Amino acid sequence: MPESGVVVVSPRLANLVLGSIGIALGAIVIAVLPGQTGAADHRGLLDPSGPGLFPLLAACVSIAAGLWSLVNARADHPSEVDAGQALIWRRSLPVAGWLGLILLGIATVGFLSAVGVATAGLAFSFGQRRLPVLATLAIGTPLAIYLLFERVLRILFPHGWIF
Amino acid sequence: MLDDLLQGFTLILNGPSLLAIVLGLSTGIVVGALPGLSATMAVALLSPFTFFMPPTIGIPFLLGLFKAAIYAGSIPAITINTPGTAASAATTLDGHALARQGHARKALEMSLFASVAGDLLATFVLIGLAGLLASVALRFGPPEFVMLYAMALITITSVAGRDAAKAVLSTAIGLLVACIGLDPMSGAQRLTFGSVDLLGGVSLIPVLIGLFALPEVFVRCEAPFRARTVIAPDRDAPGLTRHEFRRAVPTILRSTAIGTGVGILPGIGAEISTWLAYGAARRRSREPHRYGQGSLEGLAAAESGNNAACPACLIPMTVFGIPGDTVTAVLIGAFIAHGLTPGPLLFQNHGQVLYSLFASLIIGNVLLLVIGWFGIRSFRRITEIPEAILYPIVVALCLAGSFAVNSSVADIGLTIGAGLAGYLMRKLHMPAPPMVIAMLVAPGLENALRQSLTLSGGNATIFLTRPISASLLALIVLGAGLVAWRHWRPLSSTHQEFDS
Repeated sequence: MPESGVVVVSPRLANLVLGSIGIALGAIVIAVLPGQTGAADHRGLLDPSGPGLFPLLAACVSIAAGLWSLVNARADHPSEVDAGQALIWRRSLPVAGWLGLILLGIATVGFLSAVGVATAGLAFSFGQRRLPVLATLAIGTPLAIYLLFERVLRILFPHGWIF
Repeated sequence: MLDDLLQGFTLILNGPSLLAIVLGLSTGIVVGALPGLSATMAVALLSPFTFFMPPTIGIPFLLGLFKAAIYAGSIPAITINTPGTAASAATTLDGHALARQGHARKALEMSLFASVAGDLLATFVLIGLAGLLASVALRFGPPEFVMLYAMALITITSVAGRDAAKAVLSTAIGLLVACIGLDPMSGAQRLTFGSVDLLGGVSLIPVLIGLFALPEVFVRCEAPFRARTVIAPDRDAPGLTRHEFRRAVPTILRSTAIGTGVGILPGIGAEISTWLAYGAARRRSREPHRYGQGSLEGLAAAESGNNAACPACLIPMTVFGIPGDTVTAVLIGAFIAHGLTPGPLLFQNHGQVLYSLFASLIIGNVLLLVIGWFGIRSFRRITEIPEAILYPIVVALCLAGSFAVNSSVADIGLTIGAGLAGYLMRKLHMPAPPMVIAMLVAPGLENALRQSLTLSGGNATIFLTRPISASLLALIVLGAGLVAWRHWRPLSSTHQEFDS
């Protein structure tokens, strides 16, 4: 049963995407594993007490699950649900944008300043248009975080040009 | 055991601990009453704050938050026909129907009493059973633990139904993510790709915050803001009568037993138990036609079924170190941060502290009853907080909380990455709990697997030659067979439909 509020893609597309991810992930892990675990070659991964066996098994499970998903994708039919997905995904882009801004802002304007701007921006993306509310969020949220984390818990956030 | 519990009460009956429980319950009610905020999200988000407190203050706060959030999910389920948490989905069926009929107060009261009764009874089962199981678990060797961990992974996969392939993939990704970092036995770097930030492995709490909190923000932003119609409890409307509650007692007892049984199973929790309890109550009812139309018994079944799973989920967590559900998966992280590593040795090494936490569960139930009773009319106001204010604050707290775990900027990036991955997983209808539980189980599973194979000189028959291990393996094969059967059966019938 799809989770409430989520417009999921069609089972066929989901299985195709996940099947490809599972196979690719497993294959990449198996390919790089000898170099990433210090084993001489792929046979060295089979050492029962070595560091390579467990990730190797997990990668095999990933490939098997990927193949299983692809088999399931064959059984499903294309759906019109996917046609509208691009439009729906576009609506959530601002959230990704504001999160990215915070990540960029940490190294430049500082964490708390970035959080202030992004909080107001997110509220705007959620449909809030009243300037006093946006201003309160932009100032109040970082202030509350500053008081709680820096003053009470003594956790210092990375500061930047502004704060 | 009784002595341990009494000592536990003496440890927990002090001002700061009681205040922590009250704060946890109050926060849990707010979180549960807000659709979109889940118990897992809140426990993940707030557990970093508790790392600075003693375990007898920090963990009771989280336990109070957990149980209150599961209870409070029923408030919007009844008043606005939207479950506050996934565990309250079954509550909407009869709860909102009762509210529409003018019995919102009655429904809210039944929800409170059934939740507290279910939770309290399951807490007694936890206290009685956990210590006994821990003494048995102490005799387990590495092969038995391999089978137990594998069983947890099979169980969580088995509830995925037709999405079993996705659940298996989710599990595999969780296992691979857990492999990142220094190998604890040989010290070799694994899948770090030369990154210093990854040497210590992937930090669990930031991943959990990202995986459970941020996707909800993306999803809510997809849909335009919807106005909610709140059905408030009428001040003059009659409350729940003793007779009505007494009639629901057998249902509450049965649902509590189901919730406890499901909660004990590793990997599944209140989201499943509520439906099983509701279904069983409907089958056993003399008036099954009233279910879904405003049945107080149906409401009681759903609520006692989900809340009973909360303490029961702590049994596999404390005894074996295997999370009972996603909330206990997060709680394991908090326990470890407080120096309480879950597993049978927890009872030996930190018995007093552990029983004080069990005592806090009992106290929490009494306090929940008091807070719930006096706040029942005002709880609906929580559901009226606008999304445009709530979710930006949630995002800010997520990022601040994930930074607080290790004071690491990389963890903020990890949280955002996990949030994007979680959103993608929800769009692709891929369950996140198997991944989280695999991440938690993987270190123990790998350790036990390597120890077993080293003991046997690389011979895998060690799992068959030991009776307990062989019995558990038989159960795993049976479970895996069930997963395959449940998966392929509807698929083949679908084929037949297309063929015809």
